[in-house]
Amino acid sequence: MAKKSSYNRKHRRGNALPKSVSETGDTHLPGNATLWGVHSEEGAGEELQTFSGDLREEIETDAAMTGKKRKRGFGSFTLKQKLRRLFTAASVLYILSIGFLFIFIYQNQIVDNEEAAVVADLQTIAKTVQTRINNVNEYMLAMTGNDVAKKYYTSIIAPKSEDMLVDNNDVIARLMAPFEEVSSVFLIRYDYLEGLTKQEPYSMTSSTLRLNPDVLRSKLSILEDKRGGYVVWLNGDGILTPPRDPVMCMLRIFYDAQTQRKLGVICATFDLTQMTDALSSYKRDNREYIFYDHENKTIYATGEESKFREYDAVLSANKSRTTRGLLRRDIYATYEIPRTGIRIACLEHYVLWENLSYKIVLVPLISVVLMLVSLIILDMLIRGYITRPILKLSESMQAVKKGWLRRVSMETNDDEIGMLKENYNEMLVEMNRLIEELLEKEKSVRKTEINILQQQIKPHFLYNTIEMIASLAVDDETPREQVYDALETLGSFYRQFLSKGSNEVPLSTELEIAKKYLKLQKLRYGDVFTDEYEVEEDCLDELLPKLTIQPLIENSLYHGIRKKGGIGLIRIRVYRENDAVCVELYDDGVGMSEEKISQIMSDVEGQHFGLRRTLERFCYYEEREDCYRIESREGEYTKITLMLR
Amino acid sequence: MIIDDEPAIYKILSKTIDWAAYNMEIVGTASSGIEAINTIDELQPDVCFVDVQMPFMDGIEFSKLAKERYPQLAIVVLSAYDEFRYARECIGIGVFDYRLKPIEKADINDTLKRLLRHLNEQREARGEEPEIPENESVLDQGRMSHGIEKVREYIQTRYFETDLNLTKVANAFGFNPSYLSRKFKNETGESFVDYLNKCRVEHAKRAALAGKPMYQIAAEVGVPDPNYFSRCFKRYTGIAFSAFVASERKD
Repeated sequence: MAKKSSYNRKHRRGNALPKSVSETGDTHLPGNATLWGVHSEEGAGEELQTFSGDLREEIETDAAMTGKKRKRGFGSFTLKQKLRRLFTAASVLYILSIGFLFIFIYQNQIVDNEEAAVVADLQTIAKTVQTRINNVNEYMLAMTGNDVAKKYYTSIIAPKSEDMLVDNNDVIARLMAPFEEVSSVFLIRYDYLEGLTKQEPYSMTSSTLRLNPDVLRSKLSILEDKRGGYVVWLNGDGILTPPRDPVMCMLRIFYDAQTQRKLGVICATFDLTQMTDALSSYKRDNREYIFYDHENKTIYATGEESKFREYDAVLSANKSRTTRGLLRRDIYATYEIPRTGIRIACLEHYVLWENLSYKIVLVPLISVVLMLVSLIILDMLIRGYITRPILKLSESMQAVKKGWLRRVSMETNDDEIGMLKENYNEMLVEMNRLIEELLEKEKSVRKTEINILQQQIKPHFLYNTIEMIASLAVDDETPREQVYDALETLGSFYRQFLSKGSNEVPLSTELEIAKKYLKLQKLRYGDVFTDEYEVEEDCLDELLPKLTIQPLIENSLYHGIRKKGGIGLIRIRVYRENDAVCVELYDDGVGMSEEKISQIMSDVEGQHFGLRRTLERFCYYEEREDCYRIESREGEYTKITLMLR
Repeated sequence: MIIDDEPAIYKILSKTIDWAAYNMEIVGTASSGIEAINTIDELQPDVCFVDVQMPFMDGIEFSKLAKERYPQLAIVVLSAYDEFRYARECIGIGVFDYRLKPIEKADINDTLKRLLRHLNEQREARGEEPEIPENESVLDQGRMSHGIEKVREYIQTRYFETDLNLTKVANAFGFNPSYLSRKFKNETGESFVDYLNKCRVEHAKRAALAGKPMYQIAAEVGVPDPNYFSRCFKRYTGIAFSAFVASERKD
């Protein structure tokens, strides 16, 4: 009983049983249906909750509890919302990743290429410049084989420039002619440098370049260290003073071709344009070039010199570097022209969108579009095959809340959703069946209850006894006291018989009931039997279950004595034996064979189920099976002995 | 005729109903269906009040048999059971009325009024039936002894049948029961019932020597109501069954 506490509810109105399953397959469970529990010994039937109400309560409680426990996370969105959000997130993620991939990977590739291009360009420029410088060197080397030049260097007295000019002007000039790069040439003897002679150096120059012998003298050692090599300096690194624009100057020691004796210095100049022209075909809007000399001083720069210095700090010659950046990058490359000490650097500003061709953008764009289209299609498919059927299913399941167990009748495919629907419907069918079963059980339990109730009142006994008393009253020969006595006995019998109270009563009460019963029966049937009682007084207080003796006596009367004919005897003896009180019920009726006894005791719904049930109740009370004895001989007697401990 | 194992109904009906007003009288009682089967031929009642709850043969069974033999018999069934299945069965059998116990005067009077009307109607209809002409009985004289002999044989071989009575035998031979009754008496000098019962008692005596209990013997000879049986035994032998058994044992 205690287990049902969680389902105890107030009594709901109405005794109507719920309708059974209708032909359409629906079961309506009104909330006012009541299920009666089994009739308890206490008397009142305990009420259980309605089936649907129970389930409803459970589900609601569950939902409330989980609602409290869980915050409204992503899982609690509807399917549609979930899908939408997931797809949106996926699309965004995809677009972003494509974008980033494109920018980083693709861009890096482009930038690398661009960097390589810059480097290549630098090299080409350097080559051009180098070729030109080589040409100048070639000229100077050619001069070493020239007699006129040799004559200048080797004559004891240096000829005057004017003399040389006058004599060999066209030779020098003609020598210079093929070397377009050379703009002027100086021949300087050692003794001039040493300051011993005052002979002017020979110069062939178009403009008035002034030679600074002191500076030359100071730099002489550098030249000598070169041992047949040359130096290229802007303005000869101070040796020359140009009138206006700076000029590049190549210097070398002049050696005698045969003797390899140092004769002096030869200096050839070429215009800056020889270098800067090389840039012309590689000029870009986003590129800056700079020429550095051997001491990292700027020879020439196309743009802001300071920008280059930033990168110079980290780069050594012949390296390139690209700064990091998403949309803008700086590519810096530097290349040293060998043997000259001249370094070219290039700084390119790379801007992403200026370099995008539509072809490049096409790939990620198409990819994104395809992705979006496929996501949309996927979304539609999912919506059609999964979300919508599930929604429908859940909608029809919602209907259960209103108390209608309706089967889902939508069309589904053979997939898991279809299975879900099938299983759900089957579950409903099973539920309906169970509900019906439950209702049937309840009905039969009620029927049984009513039967038991009616049987307990013993209506037939009552009617017949009343009839009998009426006949007594009608008979002139019956004294009124007898009629009164009969009525009193009847009333008293029923008062005791029907009394609600504890289920155990003392033996005295049971005997009284039996006596009254037999008294009334004797009046009814006349001389059919006599009754005897042998009762030990001290046993009368023993307790036994209510209505044990009377049913057994009734059984003796109807199945024993009345079947035999003649006058029978019913005897009740109560005595103490060992530690038990024995109640012996004896009748000399038709008796029962062993077979008959066992048949009766095993037969559930037979004629004699009263006998069996009464004895079973007694055994249950005594809590053991060997609490009674049946002795009988067919045709002679039956004796039932109950042992109370 | 009033058939009930308890004397209460007879007492009440005899005391509280004015039978004369209905032109009726109580001709006899029986306390079991068995007894009733055996005595109804003598009593020839027009109406039977039958209790359902009787030992050995209940009111329903009796009604079935009685209606077979006496289709015109009006049966009023009295029952303490207010159960439709009994009532339905009774309707099937063709009882006249079904009353609940304890009986109420008003109800019984009502039933009797209807009964009277019914019986009068019946009588009118029956009044047109011709009586069996005397010449027929003369014509059958040759066969009579042979027929009666056959009847006696019939009784001797089927005495143990519970429902064996005048009407059944008469029907079996194609006679009118009252006619058979008269002829039997004329031919043999004793009534059909006496002969049948004597036959039964003889067999009972023989069975008693075998030591069987009375109720068993009663059933074996076709009178499963041991009370009625013992009364019959006493009537035809002069001594009670138990006394007879005791005296036989002494030998």
